[in-house]
Amino acid sequence: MMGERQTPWARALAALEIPALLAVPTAMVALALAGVPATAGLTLAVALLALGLMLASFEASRPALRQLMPTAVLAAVAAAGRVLFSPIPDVKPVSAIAILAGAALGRRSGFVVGAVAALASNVFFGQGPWTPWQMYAWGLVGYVGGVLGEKDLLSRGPALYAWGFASGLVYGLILNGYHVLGYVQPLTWESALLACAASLPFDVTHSVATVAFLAAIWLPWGRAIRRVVAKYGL
Amino acid sequence: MAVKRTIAFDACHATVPAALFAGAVALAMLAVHPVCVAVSLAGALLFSLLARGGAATARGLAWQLPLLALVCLLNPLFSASGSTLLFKFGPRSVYLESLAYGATMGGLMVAVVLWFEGAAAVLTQDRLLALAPRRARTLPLLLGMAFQLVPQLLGRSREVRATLSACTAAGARSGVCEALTRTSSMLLTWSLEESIERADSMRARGWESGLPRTSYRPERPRPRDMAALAGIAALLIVTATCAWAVCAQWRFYPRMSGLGPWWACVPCALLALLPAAAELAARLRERGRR
Repeated sequence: MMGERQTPWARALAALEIPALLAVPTAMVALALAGVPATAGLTLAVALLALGLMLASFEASRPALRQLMPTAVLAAVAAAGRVLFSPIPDVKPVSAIAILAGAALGRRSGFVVGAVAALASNVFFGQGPWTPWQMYAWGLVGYVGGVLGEKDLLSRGPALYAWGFASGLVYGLILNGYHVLGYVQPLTWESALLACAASLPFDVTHSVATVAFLAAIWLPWGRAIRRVVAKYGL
Repeated sequence: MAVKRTIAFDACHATVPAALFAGAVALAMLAVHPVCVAVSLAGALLFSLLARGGAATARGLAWQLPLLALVCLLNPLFSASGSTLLFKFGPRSVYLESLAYGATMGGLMVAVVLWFEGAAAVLTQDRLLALAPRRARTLPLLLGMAFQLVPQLLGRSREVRATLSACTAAGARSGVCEALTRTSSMLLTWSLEESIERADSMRARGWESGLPRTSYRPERPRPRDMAALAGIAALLIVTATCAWAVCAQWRFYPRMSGLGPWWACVPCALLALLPAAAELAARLRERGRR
């Protein structure tokens, strides 16, 4: 798929992808434990750096047009889907579409679909300090979807639905984490658990919705993509 | 009535407002100090009123003020700490310090949202392209396409749903979720086919040929822009130093203390008010020319 024409720069960025993704939760926990007053700003800076590195890695991998176009379309469909489903709270198709994109187009495309969908749909919902966090969280969901897809784990139903369910919780944990760690002080274990418990019903709704979306779109969308591939001889 | 348009940064390269707004956002996010946050919020609000108009600002504040109140109240509910007990809310005690920290963080969040909105008003999509590195071609293309596709897809979804609801032979009416899933599947196939055609036409125009493509750059950095950037960088360094000194002294808990010297907040105020001052100056200049 990608990687035939990789430059040393692209290889270096590709090797940094997983450390960059792991740096964000590490920085969140480390800064919160240290009790730094500007945790909100510093964790945001780390998240922005990780996002920049992931996007630079996608740019450096020089995806072909035939890969770029479906990535843009899936990102736009995910963003439009989020807007269309906005009347039903916590039911968002973005995670499911990012996982599908990761599995169909590769891990970097999965990340980009999640991140661009968050950025483009926030034009309708309002941009703010949460935008980079949503971009990171949905990008991560798509990236892990891509990694699982490359290991051929998503062809089995249970693994697909397990990651679909977990993705909602991971997304919730990151989005709650940025608020609780950055905006609540002094932070105690009790308050962190209280915040997580308060948002658990919403996160579980998001998880269940993602599993339902995956069940609904995995086969028809896969068929649609295969039909386009057959029709145009890609 | 025509939509109010910002004019302050029309005459300079896009990097100048980008640096200024990035600095304002960084100051708002990193300087967790009531005075710095209040000054940043005031500057962002003033710029929003001048550049985007009262109506647009009021529409935004309709959801931003409840957000501020929510962030303000969440802190004492999750974290009861401080020395001045205000009242008891069920089993939780609400302290003045905890509420003040929540209010500061709420103000910080709204200030950042307002700076984002101001930056979006100044840095329109075509000006953002001027900021993209010359060698980057994939991401600007992808972002441009995705941003244009979203409104197109939303328009098409209305078309698809209208057609389906008019087509009684398509079977019984399905539920909301089923109808939305069906609509999004149709949108996907429609856009995928179209994107393949777009890729072909782009290749026909020389994309992916391996040769460097010429591009028209309407904006080039001039010496004046470089001077403005150097000025902004100097102001950012002074502001960061002063904000660091002020924030290092300040304590919310157990009692709010260590306000620091007043003059250390002056660079913060300068940075926060600079966009509004530039907008005001540009408008006065324009009025003088008429």
